[in-house]
Amino acid sequence: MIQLKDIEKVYRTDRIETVALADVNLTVAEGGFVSIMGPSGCGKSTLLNLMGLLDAPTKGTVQINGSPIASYSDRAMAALRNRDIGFVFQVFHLVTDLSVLDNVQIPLLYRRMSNADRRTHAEAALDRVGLSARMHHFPSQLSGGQQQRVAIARAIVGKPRILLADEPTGNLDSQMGDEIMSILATLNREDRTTIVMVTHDQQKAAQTSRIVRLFDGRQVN
Amino acid sequence: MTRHLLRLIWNRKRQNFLLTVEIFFSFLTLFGVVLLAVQYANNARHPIGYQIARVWSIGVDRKEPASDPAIRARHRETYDQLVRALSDMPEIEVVAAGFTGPYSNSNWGSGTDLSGGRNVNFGVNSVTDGYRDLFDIPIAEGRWFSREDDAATWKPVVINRRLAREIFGDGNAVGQIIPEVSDPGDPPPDPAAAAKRQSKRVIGVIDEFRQDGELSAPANYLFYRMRLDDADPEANLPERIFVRLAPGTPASFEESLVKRAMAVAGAWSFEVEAVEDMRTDKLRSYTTPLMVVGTIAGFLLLMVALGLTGVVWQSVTQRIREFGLRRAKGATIPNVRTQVLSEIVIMTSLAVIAAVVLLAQVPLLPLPRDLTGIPASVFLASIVVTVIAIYVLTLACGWQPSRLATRIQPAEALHYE
Amino acid sequence: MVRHYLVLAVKVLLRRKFFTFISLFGISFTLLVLTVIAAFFDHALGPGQEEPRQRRTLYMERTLMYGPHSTSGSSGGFKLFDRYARDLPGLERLSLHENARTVHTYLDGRKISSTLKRTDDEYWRILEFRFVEGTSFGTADVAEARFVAVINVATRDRIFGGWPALGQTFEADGQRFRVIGVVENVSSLRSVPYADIWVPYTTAKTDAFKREITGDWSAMALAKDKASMAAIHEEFNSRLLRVELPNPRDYQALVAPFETRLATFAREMPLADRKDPDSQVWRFVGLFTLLGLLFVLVPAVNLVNINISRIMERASEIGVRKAFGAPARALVGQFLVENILLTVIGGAVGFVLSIFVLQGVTDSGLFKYAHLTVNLRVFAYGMAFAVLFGLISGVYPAWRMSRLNPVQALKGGSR
Repeated sequence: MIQLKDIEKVYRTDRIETVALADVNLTVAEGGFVSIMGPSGCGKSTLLNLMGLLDAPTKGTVQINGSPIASYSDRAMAALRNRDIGFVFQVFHLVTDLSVLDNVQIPLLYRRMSNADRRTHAEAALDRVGLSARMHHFPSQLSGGQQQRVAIARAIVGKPRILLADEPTGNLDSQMGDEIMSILATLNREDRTTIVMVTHDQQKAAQTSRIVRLFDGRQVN
Repeated sequence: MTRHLLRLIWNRKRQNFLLTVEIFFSFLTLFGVVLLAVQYANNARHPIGYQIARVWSIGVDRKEPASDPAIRARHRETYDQLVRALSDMPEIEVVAAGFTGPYSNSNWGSGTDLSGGRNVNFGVNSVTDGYRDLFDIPIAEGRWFSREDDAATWKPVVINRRLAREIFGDGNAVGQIIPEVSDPGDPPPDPAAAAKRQSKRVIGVIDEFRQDGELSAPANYLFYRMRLDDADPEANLPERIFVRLAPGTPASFEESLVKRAMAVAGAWSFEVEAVEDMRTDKLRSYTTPLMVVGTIAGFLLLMVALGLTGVVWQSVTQRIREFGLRRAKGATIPNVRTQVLSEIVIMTSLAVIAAVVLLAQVPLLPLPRDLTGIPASVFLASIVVTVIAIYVLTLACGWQPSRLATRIQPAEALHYE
Repeated sequence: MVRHYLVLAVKVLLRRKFFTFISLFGISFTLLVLTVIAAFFDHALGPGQEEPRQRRTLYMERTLMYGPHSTSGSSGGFKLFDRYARDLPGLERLSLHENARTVHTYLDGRKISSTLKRTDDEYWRILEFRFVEGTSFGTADVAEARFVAVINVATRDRIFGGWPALGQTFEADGQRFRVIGVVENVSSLRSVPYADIWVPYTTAKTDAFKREITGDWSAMALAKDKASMAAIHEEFNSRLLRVELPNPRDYQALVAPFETRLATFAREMPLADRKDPDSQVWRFVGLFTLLGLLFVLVPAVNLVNINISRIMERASEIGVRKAFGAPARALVGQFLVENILLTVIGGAVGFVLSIFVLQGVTDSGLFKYAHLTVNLRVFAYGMAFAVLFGLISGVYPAWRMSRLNPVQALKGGSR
């Protein structure tokens, strides 16, 4: 599903060159549930960004479902993201001025659908994460765990094949964190959604089927 | 501290750049307004050289072009009769005729090449002998036109001091012939034409005659003598008749005046205006552009004020947030204000310097006569006034919002956490 | 989808009230000025009460004679029109009138100044005045040089104290006229129909004007239909080549085109090429667009500044949208909707304010008899300006917004 070959990512400013990733080779099969672990600053988020086409590698190739991304235009990449990739972030990144329902609909805005269809899909997604009752509430009225569930609903509303989660339980207590993990596991099991999750929590990582470790930008063991 | 400040400013250069450009344009517009105002104030200090109390101007519309010599002669005779008829009226003290007069919209300008390769320009008027008395024009040297000049073989002229100094330097002007050179491109003169091109001899010098009034820039002026009993068919006809009324004459006299004029010249039309009213109109023609440019400047300055306020407010809140995150104590908030104000000072200074540099180029440009006549002191004074005004404005815009922002923010600063 | 953007736009505006206030202040003020100017133009050059046939009327007001060293500008002369403008192809009616001049009436020790126009009878058939008393003068009145006059209501008030004036006489510029008609006041900004007193041109004190090629006269040519207007323009210009000029040594060419109302106005503007008999309207439009853009530039720049800082505040949202595949187009569109909403609100506020300003100008009597108001056309112009302003001040920030790197945006917005 996701294939990374000989990936290198270097950040250059006027004076400093930072090597975020080097010599990374990774393949995630369809339906996989992978964790990426490592200490702070080791390049986990960078790797996730590359997989999500939010960033381009300095060297190497990224392939999603067999298509090499290097040749894609910005517009094509955006379309691909919209169709096939969903994101979940550590700090949720919900739009505070929009209701829960409106937040969830955001990915669908960039697809040609009727307003009624968007609503239906959004309501279905909220139902899957168990938040139908809070449709018209605003993010500020929800707890952390509920906000993250909204974020997950938003990520899956477009039925993407890949879900990329950057420390999804990082800002949650252990009980809420477990709830989130169970939702993710359900998605992976029932919908065969490919999930790649960055985490520094060993316990959460253990619930995934494979762990990739990074240290200073390189894969270890 | 300055390094830190400059780095901050450089980081926000895009925003600051736009605002600096706005201040630059506002400076230029404000400068235009101040320059005009200072120029006018400066001009108003000098005497105008005549009196207009109780003077009425009668614009004459002859309705017939006077190209035909016979028609011209007829018109001249009518004028002569008009002047006599009006002089007879007890309400009128003095009558004179001329091409133009104070505060009118007719300006006749001329110029001539002098021997020695110089060139002078001057305002011109052609008037009858009674003009001096009517307008109470003081003679500084020599005398005004009189019957003495009837027999002259040259053209008598009266000039103002400025023109005298320009032509003759510090030497005596009265009695001198203006050293003009004839145009080398002229066709060979025949005797009749040569006789006609009489030289101009200065018979008197006046202090000043500022036809356009108090706000106009001092300029050169020259009077020709006009005779209504002149046999010369080429000589000019008057466009206006001036009368000075006896004290106590009411405004209703106008009707009798016009009736009397029509009795002499029924086919002509007469437009009677008190010269004081013409003065009001003339002054308005100076002040209106000032008001228009002033309004534009005001608009620009308002926009600058709004823009600055927005930027300052936003800049302050952003800094407060930064401080709030580092859990700074309240004592550092005045620092923010100083920082922001210094930023404003630097932005304004950049704009001001750029504008002043641009303006300094102005004296070097070839500009129309009206503008080069501005004395350096006026120019400099205007620049100084504008600079001060701009700084006051920008600092005021920075002071108030930053004061408000620093008072409101502390409570919210922690909220931003 | 637009609903989604609008709802969000309103919320965003309400969240940063201070910025919204400042922006709105500047925008309303700018659009107020633009709307007032639009109202003036509409009033002076748009379809007017007394000019229902303006669409198929051509005007000739200013001429230019020029030679290698000199130029001379003035209005047309009676002879120019009388001899060369009659029987033009496609002409339905031709009217000649002398330019307005100020005349005085002395009454009981008072001096009353009025604007007088000498016209022919066709003048009254091309224009449509609103008569409150009597009627206009006709062909016979003009032919026999009868001393009759049409006056406006204001003159009736000044000279006759507001009493019915039909049949009464009055004196102006030394001549005595009998009133045969009274009309409603015409705004001084509409130069063709404007006057206080109208009299037949044959009552002039001398007939020297009849021999002039250039002078103080203007003409109106009513075309049979819009298509004939071009023919009239062309034919008259070609006839001008045959005109004998007064000073052939100094002047070799005469420019005196029959053109639309707007074109005659454009001809008097700076940057117009007065030696060109063809329409100067496009130069005029270009000049005014340029001035308009310059004028709008400063508040636009302010708005751009404010907008860009607002974008920075919403980095998180932008990052999320981009992550979920928002194309650049959608982000630009979203931001433009938000910006145009703001400028349209500002335009509406400016429009309401302009009603008061125009009322104030009307009340001040600055322009005689001018009732400056807003109408649907002016409202449309105002809204068009508002949308245009929204685009100008929104495009750059919107483009910046769409170019934001999603990774940076998500990092920066995580506070």
